[in-house]
Amino acid sequence: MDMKEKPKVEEKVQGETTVEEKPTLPDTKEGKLVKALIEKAPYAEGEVIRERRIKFTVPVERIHEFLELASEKFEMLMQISVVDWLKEGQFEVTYQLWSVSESVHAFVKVRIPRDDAKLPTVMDIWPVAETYEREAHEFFGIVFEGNPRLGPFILEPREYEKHPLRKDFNTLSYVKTIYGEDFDRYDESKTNYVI
Amino acid sequence: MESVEKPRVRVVGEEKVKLKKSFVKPWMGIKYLFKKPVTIKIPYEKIEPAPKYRGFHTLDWKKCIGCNFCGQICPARAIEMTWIEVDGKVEKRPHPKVDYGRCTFCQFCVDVCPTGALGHVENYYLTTAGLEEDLQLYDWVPIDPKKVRELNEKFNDYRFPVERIKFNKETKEVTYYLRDGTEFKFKILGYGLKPPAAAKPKPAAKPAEKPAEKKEEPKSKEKKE
Ligand code: SF4
Ligand code: SF4
Repeated sequence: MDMKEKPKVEEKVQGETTVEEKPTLPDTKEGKLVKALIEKAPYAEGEVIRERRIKFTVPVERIHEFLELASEKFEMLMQISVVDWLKEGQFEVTYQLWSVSESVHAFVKVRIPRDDAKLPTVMDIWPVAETYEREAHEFFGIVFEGNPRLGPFILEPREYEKHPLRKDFNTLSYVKTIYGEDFDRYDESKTNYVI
Repeated sequence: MESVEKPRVRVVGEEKVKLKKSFVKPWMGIKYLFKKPVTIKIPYEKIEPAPKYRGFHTLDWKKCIGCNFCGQICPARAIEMTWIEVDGKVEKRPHPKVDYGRCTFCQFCVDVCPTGALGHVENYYLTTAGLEEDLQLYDWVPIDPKKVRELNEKFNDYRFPVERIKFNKETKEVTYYLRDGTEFKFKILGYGLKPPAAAKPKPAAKPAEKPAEKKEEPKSKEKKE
């Protein structure tokens, strides 16, 4: 990822080409928001999805810096959602930001390796991130460095450390170990998926 | 960043929504003491459910082609295809059996049914005790819509059309004791999409012998899957 990102940074430093290079940004408030933010943070890629939806892709090592920049315009952190891309071996963490003043929803995406899932905490920017990070930690096993309360949160003790929303967690077989092989009341078994 | 134009928002002034505290106003609630209370005295009065209220299922056994679309769309996995023998004749296709312990009454299965075999009626009352034979009532192959409508006209209280379901584990014989006293009998040969061994020699239907051998085979197959 870095390899791909680096040349781009240089390109942008060299000249003003990037601003013209992206005529895709429409001349709307979303386009202006993206442009303003990209100018300050040239390492990020930004695009307008549609009205009121914008998207940024940021390399891992600069995510905190970027979010700090973004928090000027985006006052609210709405959610931290995670997608597990099993084949690529990556988690895609999406910070969903909301701009109260502009009514724009921004997705800040960052990809981290699955086996060494670490991110800096953003509690210092949005205090509410504490809860979202605990959730992401509990369900996916992502470690947010600097968050003091990453510990048992929602799940029961026997589920803790199992990270049940990871794609390689087999729910059905786990349920079978807990409730026995056949947990149906009636004499047939509805435990297989599409019969 | 200043170039971004602000969205125009209409804000209602706080003075319009903020109420003055009052000592008298809470007492105005007393006026309801003398009005007719808004309640329905349930054992004596009735409420009519809306037409097409999503209640129990009905199944036209003649129309169902056993495609399992209903089983695939069911979000609660409440539907299991069931191989059935009625009056000594094995049904060519499996029919869905609905488990009301799981069903969420979304009626996706009704919408998806390509032949319109699966339907629903407005009946929604079903209460049982916790005994094992009472709980059998929650697991049935829906019966013909005409029969249910007929029962509805007779009783008109929107209860489950079957009073008791007896399931004989040995012979796999199921008996529905309908509310008007009639009985409805059939046999369950097996579950799943593949016809159970007992249902295979269909043309040479020998209903008399089948039940004896039947019970073991589908069962063991079930476990393997
Ligand atoms: S109504 Fe019940 S059986 Fe039908 S699809 Fe919904 S949950 Fe499944
Ligand atoms: S009830 Fe309808 S959807 Fe379900 S198996 Fe029969 S024909 Fe197919």
